[in-house]
Amino acid sequence: MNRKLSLPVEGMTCASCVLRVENALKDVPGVQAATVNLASSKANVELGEDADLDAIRDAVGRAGYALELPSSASTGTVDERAGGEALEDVAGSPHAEEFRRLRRDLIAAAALTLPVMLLSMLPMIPSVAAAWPLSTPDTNRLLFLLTTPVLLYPGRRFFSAAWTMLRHRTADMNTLVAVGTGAAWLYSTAAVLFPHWLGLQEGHTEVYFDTSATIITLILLGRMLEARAKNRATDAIRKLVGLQPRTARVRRDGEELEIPTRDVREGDVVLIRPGERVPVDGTITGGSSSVDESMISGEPLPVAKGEGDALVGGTVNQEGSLVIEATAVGADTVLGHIVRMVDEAQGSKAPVQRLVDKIAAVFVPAVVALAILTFLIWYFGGQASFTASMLHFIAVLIIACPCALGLATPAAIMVGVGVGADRGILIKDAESLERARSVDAVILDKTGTVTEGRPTVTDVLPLGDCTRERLLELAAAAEYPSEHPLGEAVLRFARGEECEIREPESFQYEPGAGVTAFIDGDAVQVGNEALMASYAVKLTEEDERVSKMVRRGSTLLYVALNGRLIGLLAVSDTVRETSVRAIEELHRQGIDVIMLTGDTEDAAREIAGRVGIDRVIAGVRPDQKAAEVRRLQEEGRRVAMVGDGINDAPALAQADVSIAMGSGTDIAMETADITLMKSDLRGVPEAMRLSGATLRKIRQNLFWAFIYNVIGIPLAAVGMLSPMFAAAAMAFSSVSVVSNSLLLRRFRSAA
Amino acid sequence: MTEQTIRIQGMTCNHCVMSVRRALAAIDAVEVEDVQIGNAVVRFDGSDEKRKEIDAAITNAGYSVTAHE
Repeated sequence: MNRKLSLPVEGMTCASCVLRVENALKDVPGVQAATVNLASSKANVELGEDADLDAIRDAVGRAGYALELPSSASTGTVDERAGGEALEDVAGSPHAEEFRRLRRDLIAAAALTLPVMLLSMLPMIPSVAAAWPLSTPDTNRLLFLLTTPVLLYPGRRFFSAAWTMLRHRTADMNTLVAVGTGAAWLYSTAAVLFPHWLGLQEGHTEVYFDTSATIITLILLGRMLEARAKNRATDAIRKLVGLQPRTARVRRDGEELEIPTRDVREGDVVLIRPGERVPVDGTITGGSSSVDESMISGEPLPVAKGEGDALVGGTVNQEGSLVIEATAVGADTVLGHIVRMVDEAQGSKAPVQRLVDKIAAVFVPAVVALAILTFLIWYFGGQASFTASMLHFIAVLIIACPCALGLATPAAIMVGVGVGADRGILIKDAESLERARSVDAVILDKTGTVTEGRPTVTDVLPLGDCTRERLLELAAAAEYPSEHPLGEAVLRFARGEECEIREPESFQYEPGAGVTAFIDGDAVQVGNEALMASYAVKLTEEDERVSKMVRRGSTLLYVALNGRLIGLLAVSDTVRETSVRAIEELHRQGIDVIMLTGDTEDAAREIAGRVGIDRVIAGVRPDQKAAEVRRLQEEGRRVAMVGDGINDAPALAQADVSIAMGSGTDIAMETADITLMKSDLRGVPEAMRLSGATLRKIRQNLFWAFIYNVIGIPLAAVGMLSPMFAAAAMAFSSVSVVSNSLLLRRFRSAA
Repeated sequence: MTEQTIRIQGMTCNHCVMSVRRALAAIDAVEVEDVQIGNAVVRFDGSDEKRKEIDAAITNAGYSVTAHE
């Protein structure tokens, strides 16, 4: 029987790493299939009988990465695990560890680099130099002692990554950093410890320790900022898992027990009190209530539930007590599926090859070639000594490494994020920006994005001899003590119409159906059809006005007075005014807008028509949303998805760019690349423009980061490089990058 | 289907009316035409069994049936 395992892999940084690990895995005998997920840093392998786990680990190790084997307890087959897997086991968090390591390394690097910079820079100032207590050789020895640990400890990651790249005959940013800082350190160390080898006189040596240390520290800073952003994506999964309550009350052998949710078994009888979160998926066997499913579906209205109805774990029971029979637990629940889908979709997203790495892949070989050329010309053409030619060779490598490289992306992002935050747009990381550039379709989810996400009374339909005013007055009085969103909608509307609102003499919730109240001795019921039926209230015959409201997707509230129907109120989610303008703006930017919703075709078309959306995909079940996004991507579209519910999370993760509405759940926000804090769809075109502007800044920053060094290369090649120039190039490029990024603050809205 | 008016003792206000409505609405194959203080108008198949069911429902709700018309 084949086994499926999910194993953590360390050291992967880009798409080509993924390929290398996959190929290494597939070459091991007994491995049937292997896919590697960069975002979650996991390899999913399918193993035959004869597969040897140690051989797999060694193969990955040979490719330059580290594969962690599971403890024997969890290596069972999929079938064995399916039953007992708890929700908590579905997702792990590799990014938190990475972030902590980077932060630790950065602190160490910065603590050593600060004195290095002071010791290097201060003696350049003549007045300070005169009073300098240390001799130049002593200062240099001190610099050597401070800088070497920076390379050995926080900086080792660049060297090991560069070594891995070298074995695959490619280069990336790590190679550039390793070559530049390594060359500067080697040269400076030789100059300090063995000046005669280089034909230098002791005491007149030029050292570049500050270059090494500063570059490593600044690039670690950039990496840490990015890791912090990535870490947030895993938070989403952790929060999803947190939706499941820790304990559940079950009835076993006639006894009520409070047990950990992970111990609930299929078929258990679970008791849910009012206000409690539903622990597992189940079917109601007793009681009725309404259930707030908004965290799962994004639908703002609680849904009436009675015997035989299905409940989803993680939703919140409202006013009634319920008894359910557990139908799915742990990883098999709807929540478990969502967690898994988010986890998978985050990883399946094609990673963008970062601009920096693309540049480095060309730049590094070019610099090395130039350095070699410099050596050859000096040695053979210029008749220089071997040592002198070697010095020029190293000088080219030293100057080539752009110090501000690590800052180029994070600096622009940080300013872009700041500008966005002022406007209520939160952007997560550089990769989302690089993907946002080419978006040509935006998918909107109806509820809470285009609409208010808050029910509003849209129609008042008095029947018989009842007046509109009296209908509203009675309904408002009956709903007066209600805290249900529908009741609040009725009250808000009645207040807007300046009705007199009375307090009822008595009031009672009818779980999952509505309310009954007594007003001046009269009985008034406001609620759904089931409520009317339970009081034997006769409903009207087919009425064209009523069926039109139903088709439009409105929720109907029936109002009965002393057992007779006196009218209806239609309640629906209203379109946000700003949605129309946002959609116009997106069309102007040449982006198609598509509505993807679980509502009926009629209801969706009604709303789509009002905001000017032409393409509607209706009747989509929550779990199909991600598949619909994938289908559009297969059509060749670059898709941005806007959503808010947890059930949108897989689709958000699948989309090229995901945008969450801040009014939605935390989980949607953490899955998303971009979050709109205001419930205003105009944030979407604005975010697209800001992404474009930030991306342009990143490109400009990369230019500024490289240009001083590129100018420095010919100077180094002809032997004019000095520590003074190297330091100036570092300072200028860093200042240019930071000040250029700050210019992004002048970003203006389109409106 | 026959229509019958049931005389009920003990009903004093609309709360009672609602209780009787609830009780009657819960019985299968009984249509409630009207309920007022002191009487209820229902439609059902006219069988003794159903009538007993209706009487029991009203009694359980805390009222007493005095006559069927």
